[in-house]
Amino acid sequence: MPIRVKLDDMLHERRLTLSELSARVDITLANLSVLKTGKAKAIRFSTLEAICRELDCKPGDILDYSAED
Amino acid sequence: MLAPEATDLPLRMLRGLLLLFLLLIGIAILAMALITAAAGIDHDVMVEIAGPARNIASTSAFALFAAIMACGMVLLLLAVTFVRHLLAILDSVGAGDPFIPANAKRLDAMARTMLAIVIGGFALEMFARWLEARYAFGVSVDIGNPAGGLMLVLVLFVLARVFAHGTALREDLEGTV
Repeated sequence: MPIRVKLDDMLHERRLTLSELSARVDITLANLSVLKTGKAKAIRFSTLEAICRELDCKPGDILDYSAED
Repeated sequence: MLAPEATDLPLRMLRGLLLLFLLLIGIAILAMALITAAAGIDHDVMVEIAGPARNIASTSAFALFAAIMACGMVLLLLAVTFVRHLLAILDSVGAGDPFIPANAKRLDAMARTMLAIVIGGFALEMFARWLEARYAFGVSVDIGNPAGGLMLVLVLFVLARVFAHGTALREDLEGTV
């Protein structure tokens, strides 16, 4: 999929683990893991908002688009 | 086969009733086949059942009698198909996930089958009445008012659409975080 999830990079930058983020945004670890590994088909605005709030970033810091080869 | 998760009593009772219904249809098909065979072997049996036909050769009368019985058996076989679809839907409830595309297709197939039964039954009844009027050949076919069957067809078509849309929506939601 041309949409790439950069959650891993942001977590690394903020020195946070996925479990810690899960506790802060009140989203299950399993769901965050699905998002992080790029297996999610869609993301709710409420999820995006919670992640951006906790990581103090913009949606573009988490999601990237590149046209497929 | 009963799914192992299907332990809830109403589900088992419904399943039992449907299986009983299938058994009754099976007995009816067998009885009709035996009656047709007996009427073919012994003309008196046919006279006993359908009365003495007027203005028609006995072989032609038997052919018409057999045709009506065959149509009746085909309608009963359609009813078997209908009940088997219903059983499959019930089993998917027992297995814990009835909201699957397969059930939408089953409901659609049930609607079509019921439509065939209603139209076929009505045509058969009209044919039997015509036979009786023309040849005094009393094969009684009473399907009843087709309005009820047609309403069931409409309900099934609507439910099939609802199921198809619902399962598509659920597929959309899967993988949403």
